[in-house]
Amino acid sequence: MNKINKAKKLNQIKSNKDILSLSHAQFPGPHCPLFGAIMTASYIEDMPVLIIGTEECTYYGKDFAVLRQEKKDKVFSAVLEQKDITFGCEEDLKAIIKNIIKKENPKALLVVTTCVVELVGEDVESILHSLSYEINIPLLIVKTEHFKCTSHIEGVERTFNELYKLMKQTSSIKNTVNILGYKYLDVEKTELVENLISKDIKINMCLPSKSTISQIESAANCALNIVVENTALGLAKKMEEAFNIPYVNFPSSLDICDISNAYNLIEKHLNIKFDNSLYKKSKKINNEINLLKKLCNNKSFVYGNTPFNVWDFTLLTEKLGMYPTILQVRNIKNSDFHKINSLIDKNINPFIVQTANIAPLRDSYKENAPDYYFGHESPMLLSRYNIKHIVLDEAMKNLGYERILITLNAIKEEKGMFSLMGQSSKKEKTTLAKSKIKNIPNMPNEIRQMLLNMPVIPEKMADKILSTDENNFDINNLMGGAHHASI
Amino acid sequence: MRLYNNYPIPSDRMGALYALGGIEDAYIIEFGPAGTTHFAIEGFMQIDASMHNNTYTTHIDETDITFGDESRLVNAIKEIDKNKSPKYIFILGSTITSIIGIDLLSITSLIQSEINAILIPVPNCDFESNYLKGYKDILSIISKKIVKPNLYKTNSFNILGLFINDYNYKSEIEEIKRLMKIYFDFELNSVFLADSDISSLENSGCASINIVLKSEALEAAKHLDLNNNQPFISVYPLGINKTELFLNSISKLINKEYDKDLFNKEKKAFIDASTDFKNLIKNKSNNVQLNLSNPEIKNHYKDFLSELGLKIDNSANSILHLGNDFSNKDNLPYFQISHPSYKKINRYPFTPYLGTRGALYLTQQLYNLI
Repeated sequence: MNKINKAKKLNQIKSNKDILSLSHAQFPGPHCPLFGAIMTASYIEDMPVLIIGTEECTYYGKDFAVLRQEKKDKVFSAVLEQKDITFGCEEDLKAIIKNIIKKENPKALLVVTTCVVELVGEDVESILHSLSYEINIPLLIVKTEHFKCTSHIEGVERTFNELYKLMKQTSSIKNTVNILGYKYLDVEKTELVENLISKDIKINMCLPSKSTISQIESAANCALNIVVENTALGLAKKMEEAFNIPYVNFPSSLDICDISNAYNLIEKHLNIKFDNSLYKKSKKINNEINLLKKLCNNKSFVYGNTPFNVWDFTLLTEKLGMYPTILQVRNIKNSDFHKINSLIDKNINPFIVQTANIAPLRDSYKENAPDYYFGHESPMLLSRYNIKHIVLDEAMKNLGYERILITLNAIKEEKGMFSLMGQSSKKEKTTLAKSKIKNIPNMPNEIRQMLLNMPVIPEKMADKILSTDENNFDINNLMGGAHHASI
Repeated sequence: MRLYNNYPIPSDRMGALYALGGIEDAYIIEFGPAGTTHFAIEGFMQIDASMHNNTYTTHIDETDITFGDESRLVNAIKEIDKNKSPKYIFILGSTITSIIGIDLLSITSLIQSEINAILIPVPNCDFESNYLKGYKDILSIISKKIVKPNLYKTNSFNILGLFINDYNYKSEIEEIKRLMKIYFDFELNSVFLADSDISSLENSGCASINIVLKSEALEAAKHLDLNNNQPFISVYPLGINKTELFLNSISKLINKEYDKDLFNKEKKAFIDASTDFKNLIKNKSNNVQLNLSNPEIKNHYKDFLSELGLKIDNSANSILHLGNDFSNKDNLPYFQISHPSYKKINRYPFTPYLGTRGALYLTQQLYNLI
């Protein structure tokens, strides 16, 4: 397996230092904390965000917010010039902040500093402090220099922690909760929130995806914080300390017991009882696992960049009889070791490599291709090695048992990158599209193979295939729309 | 320090990456924080392009910065050279390495003897220039270090100054190809730098002439003229008048007449359409909003719009908006001429804005919007 042999096996991993990157030249490399900060802060409906940095950082920060917020973002850019780097930017920055506040009249402003600002030692924190005597709104700051950390996670955590400064002491309101750490739209459609609402529990705030500055200010108006992603755990702890609001760490894990325990804790804190039908879902999961075992038993996989906790995911796939050959891991926490030991006890001992460097892994597929690849990768490249490609983004949007069921369904239906294009087509449409694919003479073989390998072809794609001229096949027309989700 | 509510204007470094992104098999190593490279790769998706998976980052941390340690870069270069065997490796610094004074030229000179690939350091960002300087730097590098001078010339031409960040570049290539074929029987050799590859650029020296579309390509064109006997014209054929100027300039350059009857036939189709257009807007405002960051191309549009009786005015009482997915703030009837693109793709290569067909196509599209 050439380069992969340089990596350590799971039973050799004692700390983060043991998670090696397989090459000096990385592709595509991890995201930076700026990405994490913008991903989080740009969700807050009325919060202006000012990014200070080079054209590059500010351009991409703006671009991400525009895409994520469908052009409703309030991201501003303060672009550094040579003179700012040499002589500092205090006066310019003060003028810019006053300008934004005059135009937007916001309740608060979040300033994000980037690599160059921190490298030249510009003390933006002090500048904001001195401005606070002239400006009567909170000025928050998140530092996102990438040369001091490994990924975007720090940016998310720092943003959550900074938002705490907006919160005010109020009295807690019974039967009201905050959801902390949920980064998708439509939280009310998740299993967790649907069940809370069915018991007359009110959602005070969902941070960050459904929040305003006023809601954050009155975040303490609740009886319980439910943390749905670890990045918001620090904020929940601060709120517990300051406002005496307890929290439940609702697991992003894929473990039935963890989810059941969390539901039990929520019941206890809120003095409610969820319907039995909720807990019966755990039986449904076990049934699905037993059914899926027939398909997955003894199949190998590579775990790529997915939003799941790698150890939880590997424990779930172990129940399906699958085994990983390579796991891409960002870092290890002390709390992960009981899961790691549990995997080692089950004779699961894959290679462990750093995330966000898929180039050297690609070389290894020539000699040892896994049956499945979980996470974002090039679908064409994987199909060249007959690797089944599963993307799990949809599952992350749900909270609770449903997340496991959606994950199992994605594996069963082999939902790949093109599933992000829309709903899967009906089986009949897939059958028709597949029979047409066999008769398109100038379709590249690897694309033909990839499409024939799909159990269900996404509807938009099936429609395009069915409407295409067999003798005038255009690959660009077929793949349109999927390119935005290719990494 | 400059404040932007919209997109900032891309930097020289971003321009260099857009330019290199037009070379399918260009190997690029960036010495800087990994997040910048990752963002850049995803940024390419907004222009419906790919960095072809040959762009790598070394990442950089506090220790490297404190001690000026360049070993990450040296190791990455050696690794790519050994594993991928590229002919050339382009080495880009980052804003951080520019500030701490990492000298890419010295590093690459020192290790060149151990490396099979030719190492090409790209000038550092200067915190002042925009993406146009990045275009210029890369075109200059390509003309000096990659194009192989060739005494043998064919009836072919190169296009200099078209990039994957130009919204309609695929169609513009096809229209220029068509014009050159039907009027002069010349074939396209290479495009600097869109949908190109290293071997095609190396062999572009056998083209008889170069067509410069943007002034950022002039330095490269002058170098090729002087060192490879490739004379050039510099005309952006947007609108019927500049297309005629384009054809006249080529005719003079290669000393060959072109079929004026054919041109007049094409011109008449445009004149008819533009007359209809002028009638359509007779009792309406003739203001058009235009959003383009390149002042030179903006001027070309100004000239073309005047052929339709329109003038640029960015006020809300305009009848049309020419720009991109983001810029149409007043929700006017809108025609896309620049990036970014969020949900649209533009790959069908026969809807030009340049040339005779481009003039007619643009007139038709704008007519239908009003």
